[in-house]
Amino acid sequence: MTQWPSHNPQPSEGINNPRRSALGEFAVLALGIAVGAALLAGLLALLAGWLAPYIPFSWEERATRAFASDSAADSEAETALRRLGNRLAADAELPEEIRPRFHLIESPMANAFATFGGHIVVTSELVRQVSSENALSMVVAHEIAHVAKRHPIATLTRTAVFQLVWTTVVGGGNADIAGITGRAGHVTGLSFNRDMERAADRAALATLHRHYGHARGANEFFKHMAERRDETEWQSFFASHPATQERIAAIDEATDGARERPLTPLPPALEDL
Amino acid sequence: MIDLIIFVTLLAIGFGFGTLAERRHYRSIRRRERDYGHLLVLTGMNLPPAYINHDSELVKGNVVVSTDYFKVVAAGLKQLIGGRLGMYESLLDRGRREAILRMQTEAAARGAVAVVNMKFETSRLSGNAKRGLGAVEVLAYGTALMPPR
Repeated sequence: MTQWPSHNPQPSEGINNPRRSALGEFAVLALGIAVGAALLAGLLALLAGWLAPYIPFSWEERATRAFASDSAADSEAETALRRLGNRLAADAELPEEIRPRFHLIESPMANAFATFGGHIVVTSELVRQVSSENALSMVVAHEIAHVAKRHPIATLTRTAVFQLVWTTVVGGGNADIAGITGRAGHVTGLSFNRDMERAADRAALATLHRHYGHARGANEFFKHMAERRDETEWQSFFASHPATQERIAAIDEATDGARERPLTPLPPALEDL
Repeated sequence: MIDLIIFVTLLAIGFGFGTLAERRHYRSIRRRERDYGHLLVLTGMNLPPAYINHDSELVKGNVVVSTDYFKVVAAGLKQLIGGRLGMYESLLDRGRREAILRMQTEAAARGAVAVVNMKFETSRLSGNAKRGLGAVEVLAYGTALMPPR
């Protein structure tokens, strides 16, 4: 029979409730995890971006079949644009399976972009602002080059992989953290980086040379954009097309020394827009 | 951006008030443990001969303790890499000691001299999957021994 104690023991502190610096631990953890997650996500995203162009182009086409089919053009202008686009595509030395499709949409903002399935969209305002076919061809050939080099799918894959890895690693545990870091990790999809733009410019200039024999008038549109005082349009253009000044300079360099060649006027249907 | 500011503010409030509340609670716990030192609490079922004829009653003490916002977030991060969750350890330690003290208070109110066969029960309240540990209820119960009238 054990001795009955006379008194409860006073619990010793620090055994079950350890002394630790909660704030210090938290800071180290948060920083470490953020850096680690960013590195991991970035690495995987880059890798995915390099591998993405191996996805067959036919898959892109199939996926975008529902969006804007090739059927009846909305107007004479769209038909003229399509004809121009197809002529340029013939001179663009595209790989066999890549077929760009052209669309003209009504919009007060001058812009042109290439998206999946080889769909290239040009806004009516852009056509209104160019004075020669050469200028329009530069823009169209540039977008064709993006499609030929599979830039849309590469950008999307990079973005998707980055966000997936980032939110999985960091945002899994807590709804609030997930909300905040989700926004922090968000990279605007489908914005090509400078290397992509430069490569597309070079390819476009080559296409223009093959088509017209020269590249004069090519940067009319970009110069026009650079001079515009209209805030919103200027900003939106520069947001999606970085390094415009650089590109103007590069194009000028490419056309340097070209004799005074005549500029081709726009086809009537587009002139009338 | 505003989200981040709100988040950091909540963290700061959680950390500040949480630390304050914890320290105050511990001070109160230690003081009462000293006061109730004479009211024995044992987990065995053995009775010394002197208490064979004592009256017995069920006594219990329960407490619900909750984490603060800072703890939840910090624990969430810690769970990514694993290891001891020190902040939850202290939370449960406080819960257990508080539950025992409340049981002793009830026993003392009935004039008990000791509580034998004490057991613990811990259950999780609120706290859905996304927010981690919300609140925990700790229950301590045992048999109080009162001298016969």
